[in-house]
Amino acid sequence: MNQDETLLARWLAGDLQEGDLEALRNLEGYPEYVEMLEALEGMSLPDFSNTLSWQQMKEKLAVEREQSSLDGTQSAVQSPHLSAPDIPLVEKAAAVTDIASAESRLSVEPPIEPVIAEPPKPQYPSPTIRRLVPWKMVAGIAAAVTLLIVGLWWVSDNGFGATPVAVTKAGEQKEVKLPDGSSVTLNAMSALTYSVDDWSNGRKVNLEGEAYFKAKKGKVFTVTTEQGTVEVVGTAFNVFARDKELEVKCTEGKVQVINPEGTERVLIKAGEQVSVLNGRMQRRQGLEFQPRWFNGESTFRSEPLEKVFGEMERQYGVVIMADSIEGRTFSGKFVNSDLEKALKMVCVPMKLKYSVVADTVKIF
Amino acid sequence: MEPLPQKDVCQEPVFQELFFAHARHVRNFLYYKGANASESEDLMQEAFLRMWRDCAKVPFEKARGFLFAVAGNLFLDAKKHEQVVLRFQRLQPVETQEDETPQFQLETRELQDRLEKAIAQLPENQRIVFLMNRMDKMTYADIADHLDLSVKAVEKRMSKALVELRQILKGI
Repeated sequence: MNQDETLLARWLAGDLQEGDLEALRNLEGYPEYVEMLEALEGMSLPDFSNTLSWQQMKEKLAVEREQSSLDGTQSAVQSPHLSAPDIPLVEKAAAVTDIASAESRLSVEPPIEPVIAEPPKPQYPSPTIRRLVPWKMVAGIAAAVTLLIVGLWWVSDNGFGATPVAVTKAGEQKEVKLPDGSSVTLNAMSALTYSVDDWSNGRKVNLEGEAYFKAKKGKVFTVTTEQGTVEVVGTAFNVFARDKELEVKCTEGKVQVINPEGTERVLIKAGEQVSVLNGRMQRRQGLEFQPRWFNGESTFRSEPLEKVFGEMERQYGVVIMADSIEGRTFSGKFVNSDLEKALKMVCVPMKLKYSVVADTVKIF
Repeated sequence: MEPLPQKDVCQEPVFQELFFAHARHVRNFLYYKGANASESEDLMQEAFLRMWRDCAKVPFEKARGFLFAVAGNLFLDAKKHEQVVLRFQRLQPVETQEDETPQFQLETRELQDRLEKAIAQLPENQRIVFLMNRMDKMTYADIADHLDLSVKAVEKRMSKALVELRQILKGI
């Protein structure tokens, strides 16, 4: 038995010695081991991207720095992406340099940062009276400017409720951190808005386009789209909301999808997806998938070709003209970095031809 | 002879280098232990954050050990004894292979589903070692290093895992 054990370990390490092969063949269960290992080769771990994860990590480090420099003040920590709207300029300047240094070379010294001497508290931005007597004029102007900016800030912040927006262009992807630490990765040509003021009343965002959400556990997290509503508690899911279609894929936990009229609700679990097309809900089960577009690929499973080429238009910022593809469906993927390659990946299996002239692609 | 200048974990480029070298393995390690995909990434980042806070006390060559140890502790705090559920992705064959009949593909799928469950049922120490080798493609020496084990112990766990997997599979 002991002999077998080291034999198996050697085999798995690809480190067989003389006579081992013969012994392996005679080993009970050997064909099954081979089968098992082959099956395992066709399996992989859930997606992970060093780069995406490092982006998040950097934000966490920036928050860490901010917190230690604020030395315990309770002010809401803003992520670098969304820091602009409600910080008065006096501190904004400091915050900007702070973030800039955080983004490039976080800190050379340990995270204690005595740059900001006065405790910055966005809620009560009082124009500081400076004791720079020889510079009275300068001080006066500075105070006036500060007042003006504070005033503007006050109006914008308390007027209509600032709604931070993240918008992506064709071929662009962007990751956004929400105040609760949830993250949203926007696919090309999408927009995300939410109200900072209302955030404390509930986690609510609006989406046009496609995004992958990682919602932190907590109160209900709502994604509103024109095509329907998605409600979750804490989970990871992909929302595609374009034209007349809403498609939600759940990769972790559970997701509730509601049609625009609010008359129908469907609860889906990880590995399931639901589509709302023209207000009608359709559930698809037992799918093994992870949205892969943030890894540089667009994947499809029995999707209409129009939708596939629509995505290609958004990923490459081109116009695609295609007739006679109606009613045809495509399963597979294309890369988001090389148009020629992407076209081949779709057109070859579908037996289509294409030509590219400037930013226009013809499919025939 | 002057000693070589020590790489300082508190320097962001050094920290980033450590992140790119170890983040994936730490995250996978947590996943093998039984955290789900998003939990394992969160806990991994938390482990790095702890290292950042303590960077002055962590020598560069101890960083990996520190990360794995902290990740292990964070997992214990977070998860206690919940049932392990693994969800592997099924890789699509790159080229559609003509010789693979639908029947064959179906059988492979079915075996993969059972295997996923069987691996989840392995004892934790065997599961981690087995998956580090099969998924992270680490050598036994590497695994021994990461987990502070002897190579002999790793070999033993590898073989045991395989034998045990076959047994569990029979019952699924």
